[in-house]
Amino acid sequence: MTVISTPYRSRGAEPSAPRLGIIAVAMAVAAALLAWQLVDIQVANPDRYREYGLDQRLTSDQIPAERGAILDRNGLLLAGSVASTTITANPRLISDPRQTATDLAPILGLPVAELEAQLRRDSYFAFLAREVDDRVAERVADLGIAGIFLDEEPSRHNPGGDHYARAVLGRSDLDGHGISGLETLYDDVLTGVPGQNLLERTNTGELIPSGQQRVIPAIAGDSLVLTLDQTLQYKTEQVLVQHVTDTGAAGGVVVVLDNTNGDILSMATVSRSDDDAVLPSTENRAVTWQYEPGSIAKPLTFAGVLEAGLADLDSYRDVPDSLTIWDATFTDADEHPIASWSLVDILQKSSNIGTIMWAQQLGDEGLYDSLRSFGIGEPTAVGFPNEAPGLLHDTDDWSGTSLPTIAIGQGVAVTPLQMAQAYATIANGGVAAAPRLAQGSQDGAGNFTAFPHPEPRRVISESTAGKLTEMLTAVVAEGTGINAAIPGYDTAGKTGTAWKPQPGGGYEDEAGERHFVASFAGFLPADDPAITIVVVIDEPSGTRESGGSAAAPVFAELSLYALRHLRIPPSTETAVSEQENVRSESLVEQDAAAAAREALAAGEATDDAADGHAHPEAEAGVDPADPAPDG
Amino acid sequence: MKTPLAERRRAQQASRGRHPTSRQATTGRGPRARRRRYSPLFGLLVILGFGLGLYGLVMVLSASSGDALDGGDPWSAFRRQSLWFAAGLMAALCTSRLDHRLWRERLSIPLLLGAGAMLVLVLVPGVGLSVNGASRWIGVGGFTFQPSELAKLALIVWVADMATRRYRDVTCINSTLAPILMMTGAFAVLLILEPDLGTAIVVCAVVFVVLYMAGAALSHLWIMAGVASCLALTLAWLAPYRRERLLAFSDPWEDPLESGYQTVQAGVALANGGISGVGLGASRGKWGFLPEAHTDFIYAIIAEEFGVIGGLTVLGAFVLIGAAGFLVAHRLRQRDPFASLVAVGITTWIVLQAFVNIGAVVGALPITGVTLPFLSAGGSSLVVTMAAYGVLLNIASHVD
Repeated sequence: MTVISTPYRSRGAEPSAPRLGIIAVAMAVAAALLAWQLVDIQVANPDRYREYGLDQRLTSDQIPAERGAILDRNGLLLAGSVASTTITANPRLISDPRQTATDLAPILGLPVAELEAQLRRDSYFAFLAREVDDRVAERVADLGIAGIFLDEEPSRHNPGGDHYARAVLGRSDLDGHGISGLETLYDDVLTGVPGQNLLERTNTGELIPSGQQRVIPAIAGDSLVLTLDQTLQYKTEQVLVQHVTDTGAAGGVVVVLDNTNGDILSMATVSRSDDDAVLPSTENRAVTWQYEPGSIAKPLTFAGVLEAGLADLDSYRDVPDSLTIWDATFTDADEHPIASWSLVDILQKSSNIGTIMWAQQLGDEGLYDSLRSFGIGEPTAVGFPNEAPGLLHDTDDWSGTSLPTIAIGQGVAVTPLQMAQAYATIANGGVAAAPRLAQGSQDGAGNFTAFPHPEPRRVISESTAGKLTEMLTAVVAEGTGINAAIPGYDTAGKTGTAWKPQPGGGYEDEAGERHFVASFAGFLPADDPAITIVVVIDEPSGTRESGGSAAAPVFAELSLYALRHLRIPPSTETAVSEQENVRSESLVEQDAAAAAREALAAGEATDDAADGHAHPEAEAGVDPADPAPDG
Repeated sequence: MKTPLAERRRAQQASRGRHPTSRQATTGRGPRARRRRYSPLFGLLVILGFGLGLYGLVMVLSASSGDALDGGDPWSAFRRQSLWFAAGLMAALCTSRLDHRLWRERLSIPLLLGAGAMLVLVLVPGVGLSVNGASRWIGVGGFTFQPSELAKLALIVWVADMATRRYRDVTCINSTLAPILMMTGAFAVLLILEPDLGTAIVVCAVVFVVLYMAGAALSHLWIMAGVASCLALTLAWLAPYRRERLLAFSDPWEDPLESGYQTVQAGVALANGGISGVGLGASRGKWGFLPEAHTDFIYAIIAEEFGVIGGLTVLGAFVLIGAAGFLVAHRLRQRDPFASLVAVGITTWIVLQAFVNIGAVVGALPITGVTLPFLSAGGSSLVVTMAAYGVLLNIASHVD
């Protein structure tokens, strides 16, 4: 074996083979240790590192869940979510904030300075304009500015317009949370489960190009099925707006109930704004407004009298036109000699004194229990946000004048819905069906789930209810409620013209004027009641400030429309021919309303008995000069 | 059976620095004998070196894509690495064809002096480029050069020469050990001044192994090892950032956002890779989480994108280089002790540096900032490493 010839050829022993072996073994051991450690981290125990890594790079973008729709009793859309565009920016990508702001300002209709401030934020995200309409979005897209994004976001849309049923439906905010009305009451039904867009991002927030994306889809909220009838609601608002405008009133409330099951078919509040525009209100005063109802509460007093067996329809008693109790003198609206009146007569004439005398016989507890049993003084089962409970003091707190005052509907406060509930109980043969606005929910697959609804509860006997119905029918047929009459159907109802308590206490304002709340509550057809309507007109002016003149015509117009819309046949024989005439003229429902107006014109000619008032605390509402005539 | 043609060719080969094997010299057989027959070790080393270099190119491209985050050019590191790789190939081609005897005859001293001078120069402010508080580079017209790499090669050649030339005296302190230790100590001090303790340790360890192989007395070696270890530990303890690294290495989770950050992020990348990896280019760690992803921590990216399989493969490649290098040294230890020692030195350098780097990535060793040979981005270190590898190849070409 030849070796390389070299002048420096080693002169002794060569590098040691055993030592080389030791080095090699050392290397092998070191490599094994490294491999062990590598396998430990990568395969055996990677969890801690892996989770730490996921934690630092995984971000979750929320995908908004579509909010459930609100449907009327027939499945028609009252409020729904539609896709709209939200303009956002990543300020880090905006090279020239001033120029960008200047470009966007006219399109978005926002001040340049405000946009520029947003675009200069030290962040990766800024809202510029939320839920803009498609044309704005298109113009922004056309600019094609890098760093400006158009994100889809569901926005709430009410097909009936901004005003339609707004007090009842309420509103939801830009993020899809209910903030008022049914939107907030049933927020948990309507709100879906937001989805998640899980993305891997760098430590500076950019998307990792090879990163994974996992989308957990959003689950849309359930739809809410109401008891409202879309058409009837619209008609109710239309009629009420018209009427409040005509009477110069401050506002008005109407509740239309299906008295057989408590379904609220329409519920409208109209108010006059500071600039004299009459529009549906944002406040659902049908449940939030507690007011002193006046005479429309008298039937509840008589319910107690009849239920206690103290009297019957033909029980007569001598009724004077004034009565002094403790320090207060109560009067009837019109002076009259002492007369022998039956219960029917007293209610027909809305005699305060007659009502008070029977109430005295009933006693404090009896009156309290009667009102209470109809649900006065506690919120209804609707549970509407900010619903008022009404006010009915315990008898322990009653003074000597409380009984006569409360008996005629003053010194007690109710909401229009509570009154509707009480009248519906009478209409329904004495059984109260709890009022409700929502029937149930409907999921994305169309499966309907009914909400729990309290069992109907008997409040008064069927015979008492029948007698009250008879009395109330007489009120409309011949008494103060004649303006509520419509052709073809017998109506049972009662007028009320109550004084409005003033902020300073008492019922007179600073100028010594009294303000009225005119109402009419009733149901029809009287022989087999289907719908119950309460109309409350707040501070009607001029000659039409009584329940009979201000509220009853609204009742008439709406009841006729509602009966035709709900296809409830006329009841009385005599009316059939009239009804046929109307029907042959036109099948369009507006004509029915026209017919109702004709009937009203006829009714207005009739003289009406006056509604009375009484003053609970002060020198008693016994000013004979205080006119409150119906009609 | 010698022909004039064969004679002439041998002469030519000799003049080019080639050495026909004895078998060829005695049994040249016509046309087939024109090609030199290399040992399989040579082929293995060529394949491993070339393969790792190419793989490094790919991984540098992949690992540096995070540069685009800062608006940088994702190709720039790759372009630079490609140029350096080409330069490295040229260098390796040259050194592998250069008769390794030239190193000890002509190049040993100039190389040593040059490397020493540059190690001094790098400390001169204005000449040495300071990056992250360490002056490890000399900048010349846009190019940077890391003299510590050259110092390793120079020292290995010089020590091997010293040890073999005065073989009998390798156990003698005065004639051999003292100059070697003084020179190594001087280099180590210069490196520590940069400061680059990691490289200093690697240099000392390589010299230690060469001396061990050269037959130094065990008692001397123990003393050397003891003193060097104590010095290293003291130095590590004195500098706050080194002490922090040492402590962080013992428990990176103590402070995963500051001192333990790199170790934890490397662990995250490894764990994310799992068995088969997330796939080429799909590393998450390189997106701003793992610092120095394409240089010091490229092994973490490899293990993330190719999993434990990729990680073990690369580790295995270095083990194979080690095995092949040591076998070369073994085969030549009688015939050419100098070449044998140089082979041991270069092999130890490459493998040890790889292990120190990988050890830091897998959390088995503190972070020292040494690069992964062939794979880490870094121009001069790649060129010098490949040049040194060329020397190893040249030596290997003499193995039967």
